Amino acid sequence: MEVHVAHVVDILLVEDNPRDAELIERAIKQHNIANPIHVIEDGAEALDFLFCRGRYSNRSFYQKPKVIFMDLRLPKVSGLEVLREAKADPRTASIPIVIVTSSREDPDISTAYKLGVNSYIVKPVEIDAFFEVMSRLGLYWILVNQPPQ
Amino acid sequence: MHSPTAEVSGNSKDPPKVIASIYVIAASLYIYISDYLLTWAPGSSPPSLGGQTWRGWIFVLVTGLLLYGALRRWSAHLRRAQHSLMLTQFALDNAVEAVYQFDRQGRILYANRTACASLGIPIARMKQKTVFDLEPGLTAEEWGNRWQRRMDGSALKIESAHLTADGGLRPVELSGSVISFGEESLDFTFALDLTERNRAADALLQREARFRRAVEEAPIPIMIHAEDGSILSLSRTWTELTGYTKEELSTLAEWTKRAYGPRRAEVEDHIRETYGFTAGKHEGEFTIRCHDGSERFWEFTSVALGSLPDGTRVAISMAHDSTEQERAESSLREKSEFLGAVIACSPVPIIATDADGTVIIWSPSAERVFGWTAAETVGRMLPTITEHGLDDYISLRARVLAGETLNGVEVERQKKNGDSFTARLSASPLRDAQDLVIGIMMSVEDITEEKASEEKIRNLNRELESRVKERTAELEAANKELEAFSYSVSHDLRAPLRAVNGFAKILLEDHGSQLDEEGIRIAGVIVQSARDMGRLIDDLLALSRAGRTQLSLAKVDMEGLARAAFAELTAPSAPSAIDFQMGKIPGTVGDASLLRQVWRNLLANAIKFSSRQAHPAITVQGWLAEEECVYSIQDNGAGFDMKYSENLFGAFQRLHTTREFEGTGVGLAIVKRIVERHGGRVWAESKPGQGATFYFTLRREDE
Repeated sequence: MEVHVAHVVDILLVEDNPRDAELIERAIKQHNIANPIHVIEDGAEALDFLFCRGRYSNRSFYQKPKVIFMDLRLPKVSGLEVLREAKADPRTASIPIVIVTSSREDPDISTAYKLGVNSYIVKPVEIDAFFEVMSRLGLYWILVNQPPQ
Repeated sequence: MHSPTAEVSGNSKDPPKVIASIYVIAASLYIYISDYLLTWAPGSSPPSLGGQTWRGWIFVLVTGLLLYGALRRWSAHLRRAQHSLMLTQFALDNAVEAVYQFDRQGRILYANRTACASLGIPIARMKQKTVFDLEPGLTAEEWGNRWQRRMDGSALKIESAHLTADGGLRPVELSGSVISFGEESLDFTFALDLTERNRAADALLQREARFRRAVEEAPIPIMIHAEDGSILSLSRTWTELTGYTKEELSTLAEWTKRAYGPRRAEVEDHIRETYGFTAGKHEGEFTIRCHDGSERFWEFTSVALGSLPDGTRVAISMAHDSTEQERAESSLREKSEFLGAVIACSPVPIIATDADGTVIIWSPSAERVFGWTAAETVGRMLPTITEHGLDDYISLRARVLAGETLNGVEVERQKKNGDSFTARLSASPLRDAQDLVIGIMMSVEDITEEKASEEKIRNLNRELESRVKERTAELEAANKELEAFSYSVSHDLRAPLRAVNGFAKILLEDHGSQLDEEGIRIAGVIVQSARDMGRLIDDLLALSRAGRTQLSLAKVDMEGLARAAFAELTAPSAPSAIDFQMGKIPGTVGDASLLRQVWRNLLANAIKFSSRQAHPAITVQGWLAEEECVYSIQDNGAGFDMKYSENLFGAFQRLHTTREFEGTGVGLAIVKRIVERHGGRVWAESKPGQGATFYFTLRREDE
């Protein structure tokens, strides 16, 4: 079934846990950020989205999200794999990707940076901090950071 | 009679001729004159020479001739007698002995040349002397005695001394006799110069003394004995070795009795034969008994030594004391037997060869191991060397012959049945008395089994190692799995936790107005519980990590760690609120990050419990004990009853209700696990209301 997505997706959230996704969305929206957020639940779909195929074949490469918040643990295709593919392709390489994950593990971090991740955030354990960080992230990447043209 | 002169005959005048001539002339004259006178009577004419006168003259002539002849014969006779006398005189004068002629008064009437020369007194002065001058100490009485005795005919031999010209005394033997010529008697004394004789006698005595001394001082037992059973000379060594004194060995019989006891008869027979030995004869070994009862072995050599003046034959016997030799030999035999026994009973083959490789010794164990018997090997070349091991053998043998001792060298050898095997060789050089190497002594141990065992052990070890490796790998794998598990658990657990927390918050934030007080409280409980669970998960993770992580050991500055931990814990609140005291504490060796946790947890504990006090105080101390460092953290908090403290360090054990003090109770368990992993121990002391002191020990830095 083709999903009709608003042409403009400013924030792509790739998160397999719907509850976490909901919390993150809420956090981001806390600073009155009304940019469109699209949630994808697995890595394969994320790649489809990025490369405008499958269910997202009616998207265009020129419609780049302002930022992608992505967890590493994703079904089907892992976050690192998505990152790799995204950064490897010139059509998608410039999109800022922020890994938001519970893994503090060094191999993940260094691999992510090697692959060209723009930022690596570890989800705070404590809920208040979690909200705080997520809302700040939203603020930064939407309002402060200049996305590529 | 006047002393004969030394004149040699040679009468220039011819007395017979002269006398005869005078007679003839005188007689003729007489005849002439007488005739004339007769015929001339007073007044008559001178007569003419008548015929009677011519007859007278012829008569005178004839008688004159006869007289001449007779006188000549007599003269010749006289001359002969004179010659004889002169010869005798000459002989006497030059006799070997000094010859003197004394008169009754002792006056020297004559002294021959020898006498004068001997005493150094010229003949002229000699004639002025008397016998009393010559013989000092001779009394007139003595002289008279002598004279008388000589006159009686005894040819006395007297030893005396004559005074020489220079005042010395010449020893003489005087002999002679008194010759009487009618009323006159004269003494003829022969004085034999004894100087030479004495000297000879002395020399002889000295030689004898030297000989005697030689015998007595000889380093071997020597005895000079005579046929009559007497012992003429006995060397000191004889008495020293036997312990008998010279007095005890006064005769041969005494010697044989003491030394041989019941065997003496036989020995005495031997001794009797010695007087006939013309050359030195070795008589063999005799066992003699010494004074102290011990036995010695003497080898006798004897030879005849001439005879005593009275004809008794003398022999000299010399002994070689071979007791020590015998003892050494028997000791050597003993040692040899002992060695033989050792070699025989050794379980390891013992072989000895000479320098060429000919077998000298082949022990019973060699027979057993190699298969060749001693009869087959002794006297022949070593049969045990394999073709393959020949070079090795040659080089090793050269080394031992050069003086090297080999110990435990592995070599190849072969048995009689052809099997070759590995052996352990130990070899040392055999040396003679001059320390030259004359052979090789070796032990050759069959180590086939040993090698097999070694191989087995090696294999077992290898197996063990690989098993250990396997296990370690397994363990590591298990550890990794566990780590992955705990990691995943904690993270997986967190997600729903986050959800509970998050949504509860959302509920309160967004719909709190729709809830009543109770509803709000319940939501609060939900949030709190989620929070608690989160903390629990963290603690569990920490505990698990504390037990799992590999210790990275290094020198740890405990003081620094403690201060840092305290700073971390108190940074939020006002640090000065707590009176924190810490002196110098020793460093240790351990994992810094884990030890930081220890400080964190213990200090957090202390802070938690002392913070209720009006003046909270925490004291940290540390000191070096015999084999460890001890640290203590003391707080002035609530303290606890030791009665309930059994499981103080157990996970999730709490001694206070959550109402009193919050905490999951894992902190101390983590401390215990970390400290114990470092090889130390933890304990605590407290009294309710009087604070608590927690102790833990760690390794000393210098160990």
